[in-house]
Amino acid sequence: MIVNVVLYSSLRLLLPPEKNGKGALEIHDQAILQDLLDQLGIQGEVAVSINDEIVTGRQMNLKPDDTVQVFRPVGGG
Amino acid sequence: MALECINGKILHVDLTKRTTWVEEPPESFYRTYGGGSAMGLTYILKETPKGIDAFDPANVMTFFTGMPTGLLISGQSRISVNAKSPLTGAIGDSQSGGFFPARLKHAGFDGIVVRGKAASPVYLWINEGEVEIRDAAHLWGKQTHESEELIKQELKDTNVQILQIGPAGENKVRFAAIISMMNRANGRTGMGAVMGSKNLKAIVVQGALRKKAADPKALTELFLRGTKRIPDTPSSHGLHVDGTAGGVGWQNFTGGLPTRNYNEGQFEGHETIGGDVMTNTILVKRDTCFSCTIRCKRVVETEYKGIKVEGRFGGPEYETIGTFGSYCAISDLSAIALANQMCNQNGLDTITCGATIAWAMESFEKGQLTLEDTGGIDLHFGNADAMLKMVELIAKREGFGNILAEGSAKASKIIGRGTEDNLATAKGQEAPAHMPQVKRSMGLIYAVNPFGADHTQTEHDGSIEETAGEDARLRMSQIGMTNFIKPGVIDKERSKLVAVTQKVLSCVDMMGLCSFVWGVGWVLYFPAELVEMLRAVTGWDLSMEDVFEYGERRINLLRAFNMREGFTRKDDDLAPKFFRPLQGTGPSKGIHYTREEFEGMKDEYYRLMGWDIQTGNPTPEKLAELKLDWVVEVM
Repeated sequence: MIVNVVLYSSLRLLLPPEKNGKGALEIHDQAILQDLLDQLGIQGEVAVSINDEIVTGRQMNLKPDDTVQVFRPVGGG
Repeated sequence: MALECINGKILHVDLTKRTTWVEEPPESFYRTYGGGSAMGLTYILKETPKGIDAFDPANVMTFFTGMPTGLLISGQSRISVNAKSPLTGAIGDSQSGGFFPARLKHAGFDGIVVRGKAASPVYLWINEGEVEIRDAAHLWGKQTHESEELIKQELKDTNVQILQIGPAGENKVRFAAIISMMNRANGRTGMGAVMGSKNLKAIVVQGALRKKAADPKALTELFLRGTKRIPDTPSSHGLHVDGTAGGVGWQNFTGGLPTRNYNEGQFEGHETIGGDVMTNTILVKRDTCFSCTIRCKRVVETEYKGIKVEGRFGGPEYETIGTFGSYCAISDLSAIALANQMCNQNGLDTITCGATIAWAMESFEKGQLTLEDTGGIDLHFGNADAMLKMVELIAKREGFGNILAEGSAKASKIIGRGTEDNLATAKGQEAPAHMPQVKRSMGLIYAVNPFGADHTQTEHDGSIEETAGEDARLRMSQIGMTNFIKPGVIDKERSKLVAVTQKVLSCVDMMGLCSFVWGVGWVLYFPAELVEMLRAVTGWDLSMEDVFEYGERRINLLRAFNMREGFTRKDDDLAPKFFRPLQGTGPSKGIHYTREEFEGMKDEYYRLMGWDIQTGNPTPEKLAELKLDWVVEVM
């Protein structure tokens, strides 16, 4: 299936530069969120939303056309 | 064996008498107060007379590093500056990084205490223990880059480190900053204006008196451990790649990006002002502080309407992008970068400066301010030219800028006409770009923090909400926080979050540490590693309990100053705006505090701090418990 991903801040570097963090990704049909994060190579503490809802765990099933946004939720300075 | 991480020397300066002397306190002084503002307050509380004006020569001003400052590990080169604040009338406190703090240690001193007022402008020259008060008449009126060049020429040394004020400090703009490297700021609470009131233009340091950790091998191991961890730590790697501005997208997503003077939480122009855009367009390189491997500082080059933005003035942080960007509804990153440059040239706090202009913009939109008031400047939201013009006028205290130079709270009292209703302040200091409508404990720290609204004095709410991940939960467990609550809900845990993490972050501040490296959540090292580092530096048998005690001692010293100035629970408040439903779009729309829930959060916080719930002030018993009995004597 295809899901849409939006990677914020430095996480965008995980996609080709011309994508600037946004793209459609093919992943197996039974995929859970953790599979997607693994496929993208995302490690460590990040915040994730699926279809604009912030999610707690990483075990939920993904559906075709889901939009998954991954953030580095820090700001200060 | 003597403590080798410090000089054991504090420089005292009397500008009125033009004299200096050196104090060599016992090790117990360092063991009790650590450094930073806790150390500074021991002098301020004993010597600054009660109730004086912040510009009175008797306002004692202190500059203190921490015990790890100047050693080879990331996130240790910071300095705290303290004095009575001309912006708030409460204690002033501001920290900054760069190379000056480490170099001050290498020049032979752990801190400086400044008294009095020089008869004419002077600067302080400190070179490996030698001290000279030098004439600075030729530097007065100069912007930071001009003074930087002139001082380096005069001393024939391009490697000196300079902590200085610009024209804003000389003009006593109440939110004037102290600048080093032309791009680092002790920004908050107007410490630059106090320096200006003393005719002290700059402090210049040079030296190579390296200090040593008690256990250098352990410190090196910790340094390398952290450095190796950066690529796999999204927060630290993100800081390196996009700087603090990398958080713009997240803040906007949650409805927490203050927009149009804190009336909304989402900004339609956020996609053009984020850290990723900066990296892809105007960033020319990354900079760092002494011995820090994160390299989070920005160096940008661009131009706005023919005016060049130069790399030597750094680049805008998240807060600066917020206040000059979304607060003012300006989506032109080059205009924001130019505002940042102007603040660094003139020595202005970017948070209060941008937020005060945003307050004026809201008042203008409502017709409470007119073109007649502003001298013909159209202060509608989104007018970048007007925003930049106001920065210039504020620094010079010219025209309408002379009123805005008072800060928004004092300016609203001068103007009246209902403009008080537009404030987004606590204790008269403008709120930073972290919205209490989203981060529900943030309003509590803005209100109870001794030096006004400040986002660095507590861990942010995401770390105790159910959405927290494994990393955050592990970090919180190391400081005894194991309950995780529903996002958005006001709960006692939020008061506990503030009370507990304010202590940890106070310890971080007083030890001269950076809260992007050492702290609680979303930083490079874990809380337990903070203890490990302090043990390696000092050789003392420290525990997490000591971290709490250090931090609590600092908070109580700061609060004691305010108590003596007459501050009570009623001053721990937020502007009315925070009690009205938020406008705009997104998940934060409609959210606000009720008076009842806010006062309830304060009750619980005071209880956890062991203070008097009626007055919100430290009790004699609490002060005695913290070995601060002497504070009662000087109240």
